[in-house]
Amino acid sequence: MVTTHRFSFTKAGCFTFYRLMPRFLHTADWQVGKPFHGIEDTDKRERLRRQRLQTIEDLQAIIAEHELAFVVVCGDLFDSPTPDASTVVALCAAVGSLSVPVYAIPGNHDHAGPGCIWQQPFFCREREERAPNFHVLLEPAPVTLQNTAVFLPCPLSRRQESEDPTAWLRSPPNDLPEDLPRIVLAHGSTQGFSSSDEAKSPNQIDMDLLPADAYDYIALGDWHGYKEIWPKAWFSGTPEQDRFAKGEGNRPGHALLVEVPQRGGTVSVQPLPTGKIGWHAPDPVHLTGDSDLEALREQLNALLGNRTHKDVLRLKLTGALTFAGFSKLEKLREQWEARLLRLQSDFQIQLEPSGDELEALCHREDPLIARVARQLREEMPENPEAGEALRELYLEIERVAP
Amino acid sequence: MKLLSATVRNYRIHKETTVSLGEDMVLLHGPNESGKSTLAEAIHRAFFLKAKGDTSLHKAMESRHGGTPQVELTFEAKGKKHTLTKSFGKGNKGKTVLQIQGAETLNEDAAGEYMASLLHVEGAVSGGGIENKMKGRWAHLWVWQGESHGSPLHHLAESAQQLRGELQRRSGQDILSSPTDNALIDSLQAWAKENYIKDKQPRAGSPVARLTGECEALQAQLQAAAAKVESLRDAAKRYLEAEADRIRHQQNLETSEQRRQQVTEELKKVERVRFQLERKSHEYQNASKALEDAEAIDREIHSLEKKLDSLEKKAAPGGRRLEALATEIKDLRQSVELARKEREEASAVRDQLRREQDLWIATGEILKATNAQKEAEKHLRESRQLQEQVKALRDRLAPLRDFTKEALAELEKRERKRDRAKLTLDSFSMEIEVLESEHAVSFDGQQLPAGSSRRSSQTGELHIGQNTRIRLSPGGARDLEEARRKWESAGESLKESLRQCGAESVAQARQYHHARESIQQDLDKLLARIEDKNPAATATALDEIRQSLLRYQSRRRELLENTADPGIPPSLSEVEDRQESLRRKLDVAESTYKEAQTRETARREKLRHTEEEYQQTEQRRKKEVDEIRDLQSQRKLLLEKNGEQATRARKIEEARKYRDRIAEEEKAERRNLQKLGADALTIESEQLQKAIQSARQNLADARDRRTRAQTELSRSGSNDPESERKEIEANLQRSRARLAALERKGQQRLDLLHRLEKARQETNAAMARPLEEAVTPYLEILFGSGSPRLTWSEDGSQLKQIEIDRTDSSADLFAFDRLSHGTREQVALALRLAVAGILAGAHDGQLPLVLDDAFTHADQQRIARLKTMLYRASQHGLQILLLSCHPEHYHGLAGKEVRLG
Repeated sequence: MVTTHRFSFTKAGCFTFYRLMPRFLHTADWQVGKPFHGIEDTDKRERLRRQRLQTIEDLQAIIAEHELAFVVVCGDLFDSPTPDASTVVALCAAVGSLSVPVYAIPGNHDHAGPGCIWQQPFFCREREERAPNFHVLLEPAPVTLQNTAVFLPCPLSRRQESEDPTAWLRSPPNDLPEDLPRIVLAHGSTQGFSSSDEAKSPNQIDMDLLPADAYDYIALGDWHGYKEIWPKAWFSGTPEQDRFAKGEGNRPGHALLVEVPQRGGTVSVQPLPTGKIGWHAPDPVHLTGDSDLEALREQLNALLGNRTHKDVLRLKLTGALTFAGFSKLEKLREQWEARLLRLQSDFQIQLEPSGDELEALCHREDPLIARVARQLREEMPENPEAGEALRELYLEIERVAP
Repeated sequence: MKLLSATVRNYRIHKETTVSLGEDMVLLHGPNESGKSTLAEAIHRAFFLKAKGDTSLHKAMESRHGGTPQVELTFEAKGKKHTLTKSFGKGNKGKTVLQIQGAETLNEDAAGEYMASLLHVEGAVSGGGIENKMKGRWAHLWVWQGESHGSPLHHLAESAQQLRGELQRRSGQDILSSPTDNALIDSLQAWAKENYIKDKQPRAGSPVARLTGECEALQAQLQAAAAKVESLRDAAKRYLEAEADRIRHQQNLETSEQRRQQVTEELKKVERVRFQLERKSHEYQNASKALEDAEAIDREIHSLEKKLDSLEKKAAPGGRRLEALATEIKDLRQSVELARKEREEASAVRDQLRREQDLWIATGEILKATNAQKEAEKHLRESRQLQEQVKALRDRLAPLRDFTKEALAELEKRERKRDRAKLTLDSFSMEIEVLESEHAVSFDGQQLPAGSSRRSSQTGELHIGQNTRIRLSPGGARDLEEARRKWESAGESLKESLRQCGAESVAQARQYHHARESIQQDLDKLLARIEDKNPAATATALDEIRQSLLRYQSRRRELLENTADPGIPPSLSEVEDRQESLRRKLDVAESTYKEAQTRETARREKLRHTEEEYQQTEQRRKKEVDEIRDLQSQRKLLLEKNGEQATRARKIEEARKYRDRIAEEEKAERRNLQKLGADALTIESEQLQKAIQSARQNLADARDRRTRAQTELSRSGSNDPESERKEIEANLQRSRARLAALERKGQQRLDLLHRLEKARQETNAAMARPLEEAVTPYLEILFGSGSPRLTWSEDGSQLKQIEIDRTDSSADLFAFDRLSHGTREQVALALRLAVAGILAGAHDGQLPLVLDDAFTHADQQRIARLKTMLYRASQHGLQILLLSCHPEHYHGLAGKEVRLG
C-alpha cells in the first residue's frame, strides 16, 4: 500500500510538504566532460560529450513522471578532477535544469581534497547561480533532509583511497533520526565489481562490514552498469554509456528509481533506461572469403539501422580476403567510419589473393612487374609482409594503369 | 644479305660505274673525288630512299652528265639473287624494280615493301626530315666519312628493337621492361624522391617527416601537460602534508604550552627552596669564614711568638762583635798615622836629593852647551874664510870661462881640417923638372932650362922650342880648385873661431884651457870644504845651543832659589862625578820612601776593611732590633684584641659548632631541592621553551606551505590539465599509429621499388651480356685483353652507355667518352662489328658493313689489328666494304680490291 503525500519543491531546495516514503533517482558516473580522446574527429567527440549532458537534462522527464523527491549522484559527476570552466558551467546548467534537489558525492574521478573542483571559487559561483538545488556532500557526516531522509555520504578525498570510504559507517553514527530512512551514498568497488581492471583496486567497499539493518539503501557508484549487490545496495551505472560494456549482464545507460517506504522498510528499485548512444561490440566475425563481406555489411546495417552518428562500434574481423575483397573491405570501412561516431576496428585479415589474381600479376605482359610478383608470391609462405607488398603492388598498378 | 655488285648511273660524278662486290671483304680505293663515298651513298639510298621524290637528297644525286640518277644493286638474300634498280626522281622518273631470282619482278610499292621486310626497316624513307631519317637508316652498319669515332650507341635507335629481340633470344630473357613497368617504377621513384632522401631518410616536408615532427612536438606537449598535472598533484600532496604538519605542530604546541605551565609552577617552588638554600649557603660561608679567621689569628699569634724568640736568640752575638771591631779600628788608626809620618819623612829626604841632582844636571848641561857654542862659532868663521877664497878663484876663472874642453876641441878640429885641406892642395901640384933639352923650355911663359924644375898646382902651358906647346893640368883642373877653396874656407873658419874666443892661435887657446882647468880644480876643492863645514846647519845648531843654554841657566836659577849656589866647576867631569854621587844617594832615598809608603797603604787597607765590617755588623744589628720591636708590637696588639690563649681557644670552638649547624641546615635545603627535581625541571623548561618556539615556527611554516599549495591549487577553471594531457596523449598515439602505418607502407613501397629496379637492372645486365660477349673478342684483338660493359637505359629502350674494362690497366672502367679519339674509333668499330654480327642473324647470317675512310686516327700498329678485326668479322658473316684513298694501309687485308677513278 503506497501512501502518497503532496509536496512541492522550489529551486531553493525547500520542501513545503514531504512524503514519508521518499522516492528518488539513483544515478552515478555521469563523467561529464569525458573527452573521448580516442576519437579523432573532434565533432564526433563533441557529440558524445554533449549527449552526456543531454542525458542528464533528460532525467527531468523521469523525475517529473515519477514525481521524485530528489536525485542522488554517487560520484564521478565530472570525468576529471580538474574540469575546465566550460564543463563546470555545463554540468551546473544540466543539474539546474532538474526540478529536484540533487545530492552528490565526489568519486574517484572528481575526488574531493585540497584544491578539488568542489571547492574552487569558480564552481561555487556557478553552482550558486545555475544550480542552487545542487548539493555536494564533501564530508563523511550525516546530512538530514528534513522529514525525508538521512544521507550518509562516503565521499572520496583522493583518486585512490586505500581505506574503505564506508568505514565510518561500520558502527552507525549516534544521534541519527530514528524515523527517517537512511541512505548511504558511496563510490567504489565492491567485491567482484570494479571499474578498474586491476585485481586489487583502490576505493574498495567492504559491504560485509556494514551493519545490514542500520541503513535502508546503499546507493553505489563506480561500476558503469546497474547492478544489484544486495536488495538494498545497488550500483546505478552510468546514465549514458561511455565505453564498451565489460562482461555479461553489464547494462550501462540506466538510472535507478528507488523507493524507500520507511526506516527499516523494504526497498523498491526499478532500473530505467536513459542512454542514447549505442555502444556495439559484436562478436568477432571470421571472413572465409570475399563473399562474407556482404553478410557482414548486412549484419551491421541491421545493427545500426538508419542511425547516424549515434553509435560506436568495436569490430574485430579475422579471416582472409583476396586483393579485391580487401579493397572492398577498405571501402566499407570508409563508409562505416563516416557513419559511426567511432569505428574501433581490429581487422586481422590475411591477404590471400585468388589464383586468378596471382596469375594475372605473375603473368602480366609487364616483365618486371610479373617478375617481382613471382618473387613475392614465392616469399609469401615464409614472409607475411610479402603478401602486403604484393597487395601494394596490386594497388599501385591500379593507380598507374587502372 | 650479301652485296654482289653495284652499278651507278648519272649519279653525281658517276656517269656509269659498276663495281663488283661479291667477296666477304672489299677494298674500294681511289684518289680523292674518285666517287668512293658517292658510290657508298648511292648503295645506301638505293636500299632506303624512296625512288619517287623531289627532296634535297634527290636533287643532290643529279649528275652533271644529265639523265636520271639510277642505282642498280645486285645482292644475295634468303638464298636468292636479287637485283634492285632504283631510278630517283619526281613523278614517273622515280622507279623501283626488284628482280628476284626465280620469282616475279616486283615494282614500286611491292618492291618497296619487300625490301623493307628484307632490310627490317619501316619502308623507304620519304617526307619531311628526310636527311635525318636517312642518316638513321642502318646507321650502325654504315659508317660515313668523319663519323667513325662517334659512339655507335647513338646509331642504334632504329635497330634497338631488333637488337633487343636478338639479345632476348640469345640471353633467354624477357623483354627489358614494358611501359607499365616503367610507369610503375617512375611513379614509385617520384614518390620515393618526394618522400625520402638517401638511406631511406624521410625528406623534410614529407608526410613521414611531418608526422615525425608532429609526434616530437606532441611528445614535448605531453611532457609539459604531464608536468602540469603532476604539479597539481604535487601541490595537492603538499597541501595534505602541510595540513597534517599543521595539525601535528598545533597539537605539539598546545601540549608543550600546557606542560610548560606545570613546569613553571613547580619551578616557582624550586625558586623558593633555592632562595632558602642560598641563604643557608651564605650563612655557612660566613660561619666558616669566622672559624677560619679565629683559627688564623691564633695561628698568627703563635707564629709571632715563635719568630720573636728566634730573632732575639739570633741578635745577641752581633752586639759583642760590634764592640770588638770598634777597639780594633782605634788601634789601626794609630798605626796608620805612624806609617804616614814615616813616609812623609822619607819623601822629604828624597825630594831634597832630587833637587840637588837636577841642579847638577843643569850645571852639566850648561857646561856642555857652552863648549858646543864655542865649537860652532869656530866652524862658522872657517866657512867665511873659504868662501872668500872661492870668490877670488871665480874672479880669475871668469876671463877663461870660454876655454872649455869642448871649445878647445872645436878649435883643434878646425885646425886639423885646415891642415888636411892644405895637404890635399899640396898633393894636387906638379913638379916640372927639365933634365936635358935642346930646345927652350918654358912653362906659362916661365922658361925652364935643363935641370930646372917647377912646382905648380895650376894648369899651364909648357913650350918646348918653337913648335911644341904642351898644356899641363895637375889632377883635374876642377878638383884642384875645389881643394883650394876648401883650404881657404877652413882657414877662415879657424880664424873666426879664434877671434870669437879671443885667442890668437890654437896653441894659445890650449894654454888658456889648461889654466882654466887648474883654477876650476882649486875652486871645486874649496867648495867641497865649505860643503863639509855646512855653515847653514852650523848656524842653526848654534841657535839651538844658545837656546838650550838659556833654558838650563834658567832651570839652575830656579833650583838655586832655596839652596846655596855651589858654583859651576870648570870641568865637566867634576860635574859628572857629583851627579853620580847624588844618583846613588837618591836610589837609597827612593827605596826608603817606597817601603814607608807600602807600609802605610797596608795599614790603611786593614783599617778600611775593619771599618766596613763594623758598619755592616752595625746595620744588621739595627735591623734585628727593629724587627724584634715590630714583632713585639704586633704580638701586643693581637693579644689586646683577641685575648690570651684560653680565650682564643674558647672562641674557636664556639665558631666551629655554629658552622656545623648551618651546614646541616643547608644540606636539608639541598635535599628539598633535589626532591623537587629542580635541574630536570629547569632543563625541561628550557626544552619546552625551545619546543614551543620550534612548534610555532613549524606551525607557521606548515601554514605557509598549505597556503602556497592552496594558491597553486586555486585555478581559474579555464582549462583542465588532466584532460589536456589525455588529449595530447591520445593525439600522440594516433600520430604514432599513423606514422607507423605510413612508415610501414613507405617501407613496403620502397621495397617494391627496389625489387622492380633490381629486376630491371638484372634484366638489363642479362640483355647486355650477349652483346658484351660479342664485342669482347674484338677488344682482345685491339688491346690484347679487356671487356666492355654495356648499360641499357633504365626503361630498356636503348643502350645508353658503353664502358671498357681494360684489365691491362690499373684504372677502372673507361667510359667511351673518356677514350682517345683513335681508341674511340676502334672501340666503336668493335661494337659495330659485334652488333652487325648479332643482327646478321636476321639477315641469313650475313650483313654488309660499310666503312668510309673510318680509320683516319689509327697508327700502323692499330691498323694492323683493325685488319685482323675486319678479317674476323668477315669470317663471321659480315661483308666488309672498306673505302679508302690509302690502299697501302690495308696491305694484306685478304680481300678484293676495287679501284675507282
